[in-house]
Amino acid sequence: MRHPMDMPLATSAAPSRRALSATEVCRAALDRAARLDPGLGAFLRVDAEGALAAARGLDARLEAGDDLARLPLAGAVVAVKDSLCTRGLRTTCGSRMLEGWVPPYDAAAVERLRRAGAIVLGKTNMDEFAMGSSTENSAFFPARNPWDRARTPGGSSGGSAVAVAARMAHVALGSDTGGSVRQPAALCGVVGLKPTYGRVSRYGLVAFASSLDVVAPFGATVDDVAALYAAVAGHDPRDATSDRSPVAELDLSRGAEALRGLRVGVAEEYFAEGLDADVAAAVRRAVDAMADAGAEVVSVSLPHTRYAVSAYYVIAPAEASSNLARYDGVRYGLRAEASTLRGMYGATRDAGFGDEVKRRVLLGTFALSAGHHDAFYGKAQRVRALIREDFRAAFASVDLLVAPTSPTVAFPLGARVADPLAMYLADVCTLPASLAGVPAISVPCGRGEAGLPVGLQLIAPHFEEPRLLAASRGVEELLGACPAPPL
Amino acid sequence: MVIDVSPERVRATADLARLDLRDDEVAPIAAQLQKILAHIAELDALDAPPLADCAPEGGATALRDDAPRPPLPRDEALSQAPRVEAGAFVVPQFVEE
Repeated sequence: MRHPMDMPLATSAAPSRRALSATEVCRAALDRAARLDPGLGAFLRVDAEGALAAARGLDARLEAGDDLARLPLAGAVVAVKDSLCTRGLRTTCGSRMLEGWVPPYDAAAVERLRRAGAIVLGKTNMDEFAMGSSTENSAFFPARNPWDRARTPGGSSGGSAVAVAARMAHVALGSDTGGSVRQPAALCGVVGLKPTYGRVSRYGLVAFASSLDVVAPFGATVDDVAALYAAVAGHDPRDATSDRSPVAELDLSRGAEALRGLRVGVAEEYFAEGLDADVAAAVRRAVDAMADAGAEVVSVSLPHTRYAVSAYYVIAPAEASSNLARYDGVRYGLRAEASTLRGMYGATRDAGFGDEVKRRVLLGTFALSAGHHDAFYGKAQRVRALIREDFRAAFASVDLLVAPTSPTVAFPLGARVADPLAMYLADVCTLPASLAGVPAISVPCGRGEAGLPVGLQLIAPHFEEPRLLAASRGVEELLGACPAPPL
Repeated sequence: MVIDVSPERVRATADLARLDLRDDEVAPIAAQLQKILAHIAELDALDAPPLADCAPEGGATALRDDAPRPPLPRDEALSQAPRVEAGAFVVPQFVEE
């Protein structure tokens, strides 16, 4: 019999439809994590006790005759990024600042997961406060790519991507501020969806850049990602930016037929200098396959794409410098003792934040400071409007855009650590959709250098997740889902 | 705009951010910020719309119903604090006696 974690969510999890109990599936996931994770570093903590209690609860309900078919994620084993609050379970956001912090409440997305019958296996590794693209900025240890442990899984949600790629969890939640779900999905050979800004509540997501942060699902297949998205999307009055419009039904049943007649835009700006030839070739092959399946491929221009890195690296640090002001050693988190209040603040923040967080807090503080605010923050917001307008104009003539997710395959651990700007520039493909707030997904599209996975990014207009996911399911049918790495 | 990021400027910015950098942290951060800001200066060349026209569609921020809700219980709010006394957060003295 196949290992229960190697089966698709729909056949592996739902206790009412399969041979194994939720407890048996949960134990299988725990055993696999115990065997594999010491070499991968996907989890900051595995909550065996909590996961087994949730699984036993499901089995007891089933035993009592409860109809668990009502629970869309009944028995699904889910890994949760450590930036999402979990009641009673430590949440560090990858930082020494929150090393011992136990949240008094669940994030809205976690609440919805539990209500849908999911089992939270543990909290996943990440770049500190989600600032990074390799999970090397974790204050604890780096996560490793399951395809080659000498390489990074990408980031910042690297742990969640690894948990799904190594089939330690069926699905996982991450957060995507500038590509933090799409890029690790691409580098690990899994699917990662950044929903429209405002589609999933940010309540209980540790804030990084509030105008960009999106709670976002990972899965081994498009179906799994769609199931997780459907469970967490929807209005929440506790997040002022949560959208009130109803969540549209998904229909992925048409497979590759969904691509027939679809107008697909290819923007040459995404194929600029810095894009590796193997990645470009894999993406172009995917576009050709879409055309063969009946999509109408047209060339479009998004002329301000190249400015997204500069605009993002002003706006996100500016918002972060404000959001991270709350870490002052008073109400929760780390405190470094000092004789004065000012001394306590300064020592706490120096001891609690790592290098990248300090760099971004300083960059943001500088961009907002008197005399520089208009030239940096104001200008970046104005450029953000140009980028948003690029997408609006493109979507007047196409249904979807396709692009690479990452300009390279997974890169070696340590390769970009000494050069923060080089790390930032590698976010060029994912930042524009973040700045515009539109939904975007990364689906596997073959292999590049050293047999490593390549991701194809599809981008849709605001709230067109149904179109985006249906087309992604079509691409997956054409190209095949990425298999699990040999471990 | 070309910005000269001196160690003094880094220290002044760190002071605004209530971040007491160690001496050995200042020079590397100054060099890195210099490089990053030099890249960001590419935005200067762009002609962008005035800020007043930059608000995303979707209108005003939504408001919650104005209904009372139970707050986080005091014990729970204090349970994660580094120092607590008599039901309050404790910080170093900051007012002269």
